[in-house]
Amino acid sequence: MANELNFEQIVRDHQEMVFRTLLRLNGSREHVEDLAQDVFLRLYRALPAFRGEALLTTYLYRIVVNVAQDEWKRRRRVERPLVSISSPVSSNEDSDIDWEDRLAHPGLDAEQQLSEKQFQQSVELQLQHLSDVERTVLVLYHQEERSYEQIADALKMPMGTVRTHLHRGRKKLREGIQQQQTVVRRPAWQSTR
Amino acid sequence: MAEHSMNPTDSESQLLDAQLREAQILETRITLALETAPKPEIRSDFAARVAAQMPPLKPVTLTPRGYGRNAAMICMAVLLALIFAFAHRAGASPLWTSMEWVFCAQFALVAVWLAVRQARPHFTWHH
Repeated sequence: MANELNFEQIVRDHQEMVFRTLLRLNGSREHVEDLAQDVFLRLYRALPAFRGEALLTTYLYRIVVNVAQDEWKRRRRVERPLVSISSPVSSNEDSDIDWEDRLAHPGLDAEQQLSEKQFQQSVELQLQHLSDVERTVLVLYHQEERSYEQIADALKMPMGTVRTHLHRGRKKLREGIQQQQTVVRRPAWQSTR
Repeated sequence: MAEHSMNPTDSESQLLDAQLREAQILETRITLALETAPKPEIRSDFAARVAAQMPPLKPVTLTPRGYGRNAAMICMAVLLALIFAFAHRAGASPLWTSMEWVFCAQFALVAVWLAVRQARPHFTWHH
């Protein structure tokens, strides 16, 4: 079965998922392509041993999480400031993103769009303040729509622990956003006192 | 006029309602934001480049050690020897009869295990 698989086709089928998960987990567009390559290299090396006990997707999520963890460790060593995933790589891409956003929310006026974009950025920022495992669980559950069982399988932890991390992560995220909103709403003269 | 004026408990409950509504709206917005996946920029030739960069996999050469099979063969030989060695005592007492049956059953189980193992298809990977 395995020898019939075309590796290029496997990459094409899963590249979108790998890129978006890495983007969310790392909160940065920097090195994403290199990390994605690393993911597929690890998958390629592991394929001969892959006997189909788990879905290829679940297996791939496990590799993505491992690669992201290695990147977090590397970053902690270097301690470089993060570049937000919402920050554009170039001005050209910025205009593209704006157009995509506008097309994605045709019903919203400019102010609402701005507010939604700011809120999205605030969520991305707070997501990066969570612990690695909480962020991973939130991304896999909400963005990738994985079940508790699949997340537990990918992260090799009990389902109860997944639920706890999800609940705790959401709580921290909500509190962080509320705190951020309070700071924004408070006038400058109040905050200087 | 007095009927229309709000008492403190009304205003408190209204405030609580408003806070609850605000919290629900915030929850919904957070969920929506989390469900909105970032849009990755993937080069059109990414898959082809990655596939081309992969190092050639060495064909997996499995040299079967056969420890399990050898052990099973030895067990079968020993069991066979025991069966024949105690065959003349089999009718002497119920104990020897049951011992003989135990040896036979073990021999049969090992034989079945070996047969199943031989029939199992081998997995190979070719690049």
